[in-house]
Amino acid sequence: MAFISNRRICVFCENSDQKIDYKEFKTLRKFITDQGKIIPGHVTGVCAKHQRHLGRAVKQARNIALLPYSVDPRHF
Amino acid sequence: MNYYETLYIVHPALDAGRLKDIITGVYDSLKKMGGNPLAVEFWGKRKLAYFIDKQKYGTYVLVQYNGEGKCTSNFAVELEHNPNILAYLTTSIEKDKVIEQKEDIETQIAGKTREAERSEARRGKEVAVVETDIKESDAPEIKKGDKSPEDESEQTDSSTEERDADSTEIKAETTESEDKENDSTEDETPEESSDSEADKDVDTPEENSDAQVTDEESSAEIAESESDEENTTSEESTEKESETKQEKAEDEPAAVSEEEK
Repeated sequence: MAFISNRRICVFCENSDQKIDYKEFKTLRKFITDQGKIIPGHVTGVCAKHQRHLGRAVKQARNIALLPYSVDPRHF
Repeated sequence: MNYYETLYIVHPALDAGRLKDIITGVYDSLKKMGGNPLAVEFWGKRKLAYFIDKQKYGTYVLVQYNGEGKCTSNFAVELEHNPNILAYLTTSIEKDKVIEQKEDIETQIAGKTREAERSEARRGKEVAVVETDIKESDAPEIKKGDKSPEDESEQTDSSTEERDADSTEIKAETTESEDKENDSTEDETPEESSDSEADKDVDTPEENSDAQVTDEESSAEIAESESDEENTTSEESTEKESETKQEKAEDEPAAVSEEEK
């Protein structure tokens, strides 16, 4: 019987070409909720190192109005 | 010598000419501050994630340069005091991330403006196409409407004829029904007239108690007469009752005259 692990591999570790940058806000949108919150790494499967980079990039994108700080859930 | 990039948002209300002036002004100020601009990228007009200075849209411009650390702080002060710049973000980058600028600022602005114009034109065309579709959908109806008056007149003629025919039929039916009703009324009228005469005769002497008694009697008789009318079997009895009423009516004025005396 083959052993199937439930552990996911980090997306950014798999694809070294995919870099984390605040200017690429379209990729960053996948790692925030509809309300604008950063999704934790244990949910998305991103490793701790890339989660730190993601958090920084999301905060930079928020600063320059590429991503929202918060979205009112009543507007969904 | 470090490499930096600054992304700043220009006010969206500015035209292409003034936008170019502002971008060149920022470029020159960066040079004055000791920076060496390497590339300028014009992103164009974009929707902001949130309102900045009550503005929903903004024009994004990216500048990459190298220089000492002081130049960034002086450049930040310069951007801070520029009223046409809504927001800015300066980050340090590696040398590999520097963009190769292929086009000048003017051509980039012109290209973005052309793209914007094309997109607007497409939207306008889509809107025009939608409007034409709507008009075409309305047009056949209008053509039908143009044709329709004649057709309608013909239809109206035919319909009027039909209506006339129907009306004649209805009139015939109504005349028949009226005749029937008249016959029935004629059948009913004599008895009613007799009753009405009796009532008139009875109602005249209202002051007398005898008259009131006669009224009660007459009302009872009327009810009886009505029931008889419904049954239509004892017609002879009603005639007799009417005769009695007439007799009573003739007697009552005489009694009144005696009392007056």
